[in-house]
Amino acid sequence: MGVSADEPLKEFERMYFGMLLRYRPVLDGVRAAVYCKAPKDVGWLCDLMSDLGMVVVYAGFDNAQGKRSRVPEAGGSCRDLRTGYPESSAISDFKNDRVDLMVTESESLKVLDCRFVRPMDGFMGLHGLESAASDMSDAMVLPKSDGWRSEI
Amino acid sequence: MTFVRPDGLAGALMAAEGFTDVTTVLHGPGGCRFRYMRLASELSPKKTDPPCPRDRNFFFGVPRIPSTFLDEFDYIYGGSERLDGVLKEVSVEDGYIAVVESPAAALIGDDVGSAVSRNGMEDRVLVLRKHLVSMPMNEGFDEMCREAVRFVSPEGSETERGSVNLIGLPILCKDWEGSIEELTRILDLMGLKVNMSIGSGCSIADLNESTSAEFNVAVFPEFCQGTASMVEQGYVIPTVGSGFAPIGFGPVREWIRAVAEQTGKDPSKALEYVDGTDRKARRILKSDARRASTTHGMHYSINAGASVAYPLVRWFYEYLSMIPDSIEVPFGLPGTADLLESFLSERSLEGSFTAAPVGGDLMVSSGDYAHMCHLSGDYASYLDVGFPPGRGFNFRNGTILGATGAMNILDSLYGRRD
Repeated sequence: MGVSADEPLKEFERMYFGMLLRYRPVLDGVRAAVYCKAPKDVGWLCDLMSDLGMVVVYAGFDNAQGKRSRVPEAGGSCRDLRTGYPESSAISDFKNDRVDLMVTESESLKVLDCRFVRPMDGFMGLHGLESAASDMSDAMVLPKSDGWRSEI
Repeated sequence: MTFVRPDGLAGALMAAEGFTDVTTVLHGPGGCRFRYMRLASELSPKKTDPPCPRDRNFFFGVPRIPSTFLDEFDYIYGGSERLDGVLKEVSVEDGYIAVVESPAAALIGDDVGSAVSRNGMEDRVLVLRKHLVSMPMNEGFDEMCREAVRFVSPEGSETERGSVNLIGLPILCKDWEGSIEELTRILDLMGLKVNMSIGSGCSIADLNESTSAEFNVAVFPEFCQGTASMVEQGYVIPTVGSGFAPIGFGPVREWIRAVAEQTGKDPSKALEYVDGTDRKARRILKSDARRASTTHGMHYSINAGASVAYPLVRWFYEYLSMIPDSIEVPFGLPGTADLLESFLSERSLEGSFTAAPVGGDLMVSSGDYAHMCHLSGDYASYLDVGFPPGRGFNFRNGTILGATGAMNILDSLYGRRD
């Protein structure tokens, strides 16, 4: 006989929404984009961003080598999934997209006029979700670019 | 984890040991001596002494910080005889004598001044009459430096234009010799000649020449408030500085500009030196930007004096995008602490000010404490920026001041671990 998952799910939801409340004040309304070089599933991240009140502008994937990934790219609740989207296009579209926070590992995008955070991989459970929310919240109080990246 | 902070007694003893021609006498039980005599051997600039005989009274085989070795008998009947004994034992070759009372000796109230007069040694012995236990370390250092200047009472000499004394640079800071070297280089590029660093590497006899300086340059301002105001009032030598120590490229530039403005000198060459070093650092970081950006969003705790904490927090935030979780400032001038507080509140980081350390990526503190925090598993790594220093010898210039100091800090953060 199976065991009901209702109670654990309710408990998880209670903790999840409690966690969101801690980070919403900083992240609510922030326009964010996710940009990855290789295809991957960032659906969980896009869903988290939406739950935090953030506007997910797009989830973009370069895949310059054109390889087929084991995990196909996915953006969850994100409506604008840009596949085969090179860095140069992300840079040229940046003004129109009006992104405040970029989740990316691309060094070329980290010099754009917005805050950035490294992508969070392999997160599991509430701890992983909170870690991602915390990283994005931290990024919003940091300077737009690391001082050492500029020229003197 | 509790940080057992060095107090005013440690500051005073190490200030006295910072003078090359002073033998510091600790009036107190032998147990109070051991840690300080070891530290003095490690830090102080005195020549390598000939082996000290094990049977030499009050020294017992170690030439640094002889003690009166008070015992239970002395606590009841007074320790004057011990004082007479130690003053006679310290020979003229040992130089001047600075007597500092341990907290235990202060309780019994021996009249050190009378012992000095009784032995006719007023011209060789300076006595620190303040009891500095439980006071911050910086106040002990400052008191001893002020006492030394008062003891010498240098006659005002003709001002040598463009010459400066460094003040507020204790031998307790990380690599004080390397720090003097770096600051001398920077000030030299501004056309300022460093006469001496009061309390670190100069002699009591040198203090006679200290009044020929046109300015005193404050390095760690909280370590020289009293000395600065005494010299300013007595000898009309103004103290210049920025209110914080020159740590990190941005704050170093600000320090240089402040000193240049107050001394009327041209900062361009010194700034070019800092820019050149900064350019090199940026080139190295950009060569592996992915690795360099590991500091982005790194959480750290810091426990340091205000004049160290403020520039470091600022530089870490602006240059490396690091976030302070906990900032503990055990001592410092109110002005510097205010600067730090307003910097944090402008960036919505005010919660970190005085918040207790809770663990994280990095602990920035004195070597011993930082290392312990790392070993306990609370912090992934640590950065040693103060006193007491970490274990082991330091052969390379390990200063945290100036452009060299900024490179050393980056080196510790990204590469080597001490």
